[in-house]
Amino acid sequence: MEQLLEILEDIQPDADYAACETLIDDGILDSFAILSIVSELEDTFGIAITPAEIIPENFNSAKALWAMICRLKEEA
Amino acid sequence: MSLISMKFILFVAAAVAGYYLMPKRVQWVWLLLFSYIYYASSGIKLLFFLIYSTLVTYAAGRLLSVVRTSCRDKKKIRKYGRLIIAGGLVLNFGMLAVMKYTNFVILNINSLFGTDLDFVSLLLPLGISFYTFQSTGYMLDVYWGKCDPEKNVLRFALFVSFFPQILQGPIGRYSRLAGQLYTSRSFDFQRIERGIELILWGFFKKMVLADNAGVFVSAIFSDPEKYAGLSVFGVLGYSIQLYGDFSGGMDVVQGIANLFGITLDENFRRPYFARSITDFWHRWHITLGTWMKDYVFYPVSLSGWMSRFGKFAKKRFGKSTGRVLPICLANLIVFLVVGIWHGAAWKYIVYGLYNGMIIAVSGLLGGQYRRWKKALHIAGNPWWYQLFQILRTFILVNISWFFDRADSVPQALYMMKNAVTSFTPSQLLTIPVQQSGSTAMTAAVLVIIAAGCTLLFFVSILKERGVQIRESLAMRPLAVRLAVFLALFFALPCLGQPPSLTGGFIYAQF
Amino acid sequence: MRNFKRFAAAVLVLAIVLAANSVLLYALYPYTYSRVDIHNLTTADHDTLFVGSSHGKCGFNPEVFDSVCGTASTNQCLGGEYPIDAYHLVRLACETGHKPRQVIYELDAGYFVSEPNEGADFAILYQEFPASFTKLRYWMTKILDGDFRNTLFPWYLYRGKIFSVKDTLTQKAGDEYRNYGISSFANPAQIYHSTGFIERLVQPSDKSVKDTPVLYTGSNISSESENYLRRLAQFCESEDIRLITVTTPVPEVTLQEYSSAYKGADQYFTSLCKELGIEYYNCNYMEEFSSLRDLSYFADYDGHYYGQYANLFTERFAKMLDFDDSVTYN
Repeated sequence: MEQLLEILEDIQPDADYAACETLIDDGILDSFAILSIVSELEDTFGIAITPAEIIPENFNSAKALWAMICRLKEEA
Repeated sequence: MSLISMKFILFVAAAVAGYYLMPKRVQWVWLLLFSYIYYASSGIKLLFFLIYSTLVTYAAGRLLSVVRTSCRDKKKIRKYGRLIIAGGLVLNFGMLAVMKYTNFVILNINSLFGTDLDFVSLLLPLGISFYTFQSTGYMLDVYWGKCDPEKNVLRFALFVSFFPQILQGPIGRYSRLAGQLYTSRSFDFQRIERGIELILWGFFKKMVLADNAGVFVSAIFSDPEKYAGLSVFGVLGYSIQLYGDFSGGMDVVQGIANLFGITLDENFRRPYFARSITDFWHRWHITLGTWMKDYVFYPVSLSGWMSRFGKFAKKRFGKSTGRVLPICLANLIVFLVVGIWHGAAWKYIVYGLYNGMIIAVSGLLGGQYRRWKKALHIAGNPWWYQLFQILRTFILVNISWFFDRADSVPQALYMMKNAVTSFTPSQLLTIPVQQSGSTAMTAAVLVIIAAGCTLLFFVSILKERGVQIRESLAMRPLAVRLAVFLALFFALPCLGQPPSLTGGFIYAQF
Repeated sequence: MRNFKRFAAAVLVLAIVLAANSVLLYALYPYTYSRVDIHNLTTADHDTLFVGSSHGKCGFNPEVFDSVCGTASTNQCLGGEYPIDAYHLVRLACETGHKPRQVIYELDAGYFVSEPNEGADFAILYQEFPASFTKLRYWMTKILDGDFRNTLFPWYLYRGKIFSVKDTLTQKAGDEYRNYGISSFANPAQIYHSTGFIERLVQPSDKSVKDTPVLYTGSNISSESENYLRRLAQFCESEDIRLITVTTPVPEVTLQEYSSAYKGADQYFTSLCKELGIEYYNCNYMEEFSSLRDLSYFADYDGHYYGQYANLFTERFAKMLDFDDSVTYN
């Protein structure tokens, strides 16, 4: 989780990733940021993220992102 | 059947009346019937294309679910799934490509190789771009497991053909639209009132703003030499015309859907208040933008060869640039597709790539911008900085309109040059606004455009601030609502331009 | 109770709209010679109806025609009159009990390569039609396809007349309007005759600009126009009305300048009329009219005759027609 927060900070500073639950709904992360995150997550955690995963529910908060990472790790 | 024709008004009235008189079970069948009548009214033969697209995507959805339920092996499911989706895509887009781009390809082959191939006369089925996209989106959603496939082919046919939106969108998503189409409803007076209200507002934008501005735009763009000093007004007029025409058309379409209790996806959100080109595409033709994002941008960005390119780029250009580079490439591909979608001509491709380039560059320079802002001691987002961003974006958008509206790329460049070198606003008064060629009403029409824009501007500001204008209007006494209703209603004939000089909706050609 | 209030509001809106519309229509819609034309068509018997565009309006003088043939004719041509309009005019004459024996249709290729333009003349004939089945049919086939404002606000194409409301009201209250008088249609450029003929007069500004005519190209035929010529031919056949089609002369210079377009149009009309089994005379290619194509006889390059040459043309045309075989006159 720490690692994830670092990645998020690095890609798009000025957001409270630990608390925010509406990263997508409020437009904090745009499609560029989302894809940058995806690319970093794939490298860091060795997972493959498909287009089907790119839904607001998976990206709205750091918690949701972490849940997705864990799920994909298990599946891999 | 044009949206502004009396026939269409009566058609909608009949559809609505019948809808609420039908037994509730078959209300959706009634909608399907009217949707097919509507589409057939532009040519019985065109039904073939609609049915083709419907059947191809329906079959793909069904096959995918059959594979999923009958196959155990995950690998096999993946393999067959890919085959099915590839087949569906080729069949669906193949038809669109053949119908829309054959002559463009022939034209370019002829000019490249000096051949003399004849053009083929193909009829362009109305709305084919819109329903092809809508049905393809469904197919991919099923493939990615985002929605369950529809079993009933007739229900599915309604999703593809729902008549208010088939000609010019919005491009609907199965998960949000389909359920609404099949729900049964009883008559509700308020629903009708609000639907008509939105329809009138849409016609107001179309007839009073777009059509009046359109007269000037046509004059200026059809004779760029004569009106060299008006180039800047030509493009500003076009930004009014295009917005009024397209978003007005969307309001009409949305209003009609509202009459049936159906809410379509929003297609416009005050686009000229956008603070960047990316933001603009989140506010302009939203359903096309999100379609492109979900079904082109993400899949391309996440594809195997793109991730290989990303790894290579990271090694070569360092971490942060390398990360953004593949995204920029995918983004350019998206806007190339957007350009091609707009029409088979090079100027649209330039238009698309221009947008893509700006977004790509600002993506690459994202970190740089943050540093510049710090160096200039701009903290947060003061109002003047936001205003600067809005104006900057508006100018960038207007540059793209030159490509969109001009007959060719050279004409667009020529007019852009004039826009900065030549300026004779008084020439506006020499443009006739009447069929007779008289300029007696020109000043009056300019005043109408200005007043209409002012009204639209204030409405937009209120909406941008989150004021629910229609909701608060609904709370007002009946007399106020009646007055607003009648004012909008009579503005159409009093202030609107007759179609003799303008024509139908621009986006109904796609 | 709530619903009652809403329905009452809806009825109120309807009433306001209807009342405003009738007031505005009366105040804005001008008195035009089309009112006289339609009045003539629907209240008197005529052997011959001239229908067609402005070329026919300025080219065929019924008085001259009748003096040669001993007929009673009326000129129902109008600038902006498409086949769909001509068709309904002929039907209207029949429905009101004034069936003609022959219809002379002036064919202008420009009207077969374009669609009716929704300008000020789009609904003018429709407005003047008396209540009839033909009017209903006319609405369903033409106005219904047009902008909804034509139906919901029948005055809207004349909103520009707001500045002459006073004149319109005075005129409509006067005897001239009530008695279908024509004196107010005369101006220095033209005189309207009660037979429907427009006599063009020489103006110093004539021919100062050279408009490009709407040209036949071979690939721009309007299926609607062709369709309504077919219907007119069928209708005339079923009603036993002789249908004669004619293209009036254009100035020799125009004919030379656009020779291939005019030739193409000639071939198109010739073969279409042959297929429909109706007579077609193209005066641009007939020896009888070759001496009537001097530019000085016309008010413009497009081919609108000055009054005196229209008389010459009408006379020659009347003499040329072979009446004996299908029509007899009293």
